[in-house]
Amino acid sequence: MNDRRRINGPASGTQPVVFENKSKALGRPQRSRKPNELRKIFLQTGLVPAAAGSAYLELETPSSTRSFIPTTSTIKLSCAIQGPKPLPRNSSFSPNLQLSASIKFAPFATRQRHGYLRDNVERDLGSHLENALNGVIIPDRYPKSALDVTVMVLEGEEDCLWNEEHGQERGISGVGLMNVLAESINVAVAALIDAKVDCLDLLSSGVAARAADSETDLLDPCPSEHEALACACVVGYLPARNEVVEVWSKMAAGKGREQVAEDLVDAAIKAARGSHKILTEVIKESLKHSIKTKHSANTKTTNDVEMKT
Amino acid sequence: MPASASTSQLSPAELSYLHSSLSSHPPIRPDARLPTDFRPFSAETNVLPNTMGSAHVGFADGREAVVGVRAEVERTAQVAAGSDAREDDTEMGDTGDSKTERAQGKSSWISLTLTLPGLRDDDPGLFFLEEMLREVLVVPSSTTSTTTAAAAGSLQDGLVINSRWHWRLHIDVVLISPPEGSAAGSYPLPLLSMAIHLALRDTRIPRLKSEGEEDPLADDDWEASVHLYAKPGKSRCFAAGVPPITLLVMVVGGNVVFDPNGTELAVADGVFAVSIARAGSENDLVSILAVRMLETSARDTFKGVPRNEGGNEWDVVPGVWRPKLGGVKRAVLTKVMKAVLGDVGKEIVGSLEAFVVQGG
Repeated sequence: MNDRRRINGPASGTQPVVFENKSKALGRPQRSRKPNELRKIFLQTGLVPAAAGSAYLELETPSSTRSFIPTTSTIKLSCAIQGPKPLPRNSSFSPNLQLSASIKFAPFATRQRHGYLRDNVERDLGSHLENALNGVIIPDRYPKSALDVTVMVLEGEEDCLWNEEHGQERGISGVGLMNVLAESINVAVAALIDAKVDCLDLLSSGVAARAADSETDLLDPCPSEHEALACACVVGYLPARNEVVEVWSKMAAGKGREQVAEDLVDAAIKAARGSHKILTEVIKESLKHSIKTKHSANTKTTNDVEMKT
Repeated sequence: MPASASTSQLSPAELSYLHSSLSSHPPIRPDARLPTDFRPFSAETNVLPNTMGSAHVGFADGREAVVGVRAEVERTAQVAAGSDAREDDTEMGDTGDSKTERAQGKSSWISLTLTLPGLRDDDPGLFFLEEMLREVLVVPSSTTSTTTAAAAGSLQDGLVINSRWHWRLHIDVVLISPPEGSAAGSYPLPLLSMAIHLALRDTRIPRLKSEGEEDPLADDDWEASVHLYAKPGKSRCFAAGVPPITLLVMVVGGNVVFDPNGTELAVADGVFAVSIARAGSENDLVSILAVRMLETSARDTFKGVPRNEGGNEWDVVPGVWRPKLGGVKRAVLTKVMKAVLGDVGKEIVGSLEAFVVQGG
């Protein structure tokens, strides 16, 4: 009598399935953009209704038609702002807005799982973001208040390809994190505007890098497209004031001559100007939207019939 | 200011006075230094007998940093992916090719921990400072893959023993600072960076008796040990060049001021940490490894109130303190990099070199 409750395997045994490691054969994805061309950015404000201001940013995913696994990673960020809110009772008096910014990677954001506690990388990036945002807000308009900026990284860019074990150890490490920081600044600024916090200017940020074997500056570099990057730089830039509020650059030994450092900062500013255009458009769009909804809300109230008692 | 710079207790009038004297031409510093002068410090190396290299650096304000460097042998994590292992079986022909290539180290093999007094060990500023000091130690050398086996490249590549083993480097820094009040919250970056530099120059790694792919076996003779960084006159070393130095540079009203103390930092328009290292073998060529902009404590200060109140918010009344708003002009950033790569960088690299040669 057959045991009909059990699904038996084939009597002869099977061979384990072996997938062809196709991505290795495909090689490294090539940068198809021009050196001065940024990846496309999707940015929208006001996605978290409970927050005072919020924004979501996503970078274009490169199409990988030939491989099942994605050959490059992309960036997806969401940012929420709480405040300005009163300082807690036990804190000392401050005439200025107390800004605190943090970046948290979702556990699934990168190949290496991030825990729920913030690790060193996240704290370091958070300090960078806080430095940048402190330069753009006008803190004395909000005495005795606090503002919390939280950026959640839903997908973070990585330094190497999915199938590489040691990745970018040849070049400088952490270019993926630099991209995350730059886009975090952009998304946080969009959320700040959405929260209607007074700012000096529209801050925007960009990354520029230079490959080890070339002299051209690449704007918005995707680290997995390059075997080794020799130098990279993030700049947070206020276009109307021609000021920098954040600089973070890394250069390989012997590369950081004065001209290279200068060119790299200029290229990063160019990238920041690119994202600035997008930020302006997005803010205009969200403003139009909010005016429209406010208008419709106003007309609704006038239609209300007063209750007779 | 991220770490351990307590907000200065200066009044708006004092801040305004300090700011205007620092932004005059030439800047007048409270301790009468020139803008490019560094604070004097005393240093000694090889102070901790249980470490492989150590340094003790003290500033005149009573702050001291003690650095100990230790290295331990660690098994290199084999690539876990089964696919790669299988590939090695099938493509034996390729392995000979990869052997000629220089072994690659990982930046995670170098760890740096800071202990600063009066700071929680999960303070974000602490990690910011740790990362700032660590990221410049692991920069790759600019020449890729063309280096011959004899010429050492970057530090992490030098730590490779063979395909299964590597050295792991622990750099532990302890800052000792006098009780609160005597040192006006200066940012400890220059002190820490100097101490780490000297400790790494002092570090020696035991010579290995084992060869090739054998399990590592260290030589008992400490005299035979190899310096981590190249010493003049010694041919063998783990890494080329010298360890980087991180300088603290402050910008006030278009002036570039080096090595500011706590009082000066309280009025900074912008603060930069610039890491430099000697480029190549010549002493007089310096290159930048990293630049970071730091938070200035001049932002979160009380503003001064002018006598005839009621003016516009943006009116600038001379002599009345306003907290710093906005960033640093683009042209000033150029000025900073020019100043660092100019005589100052050369001088600091040269003087540390002189110290090591004399003391070593």
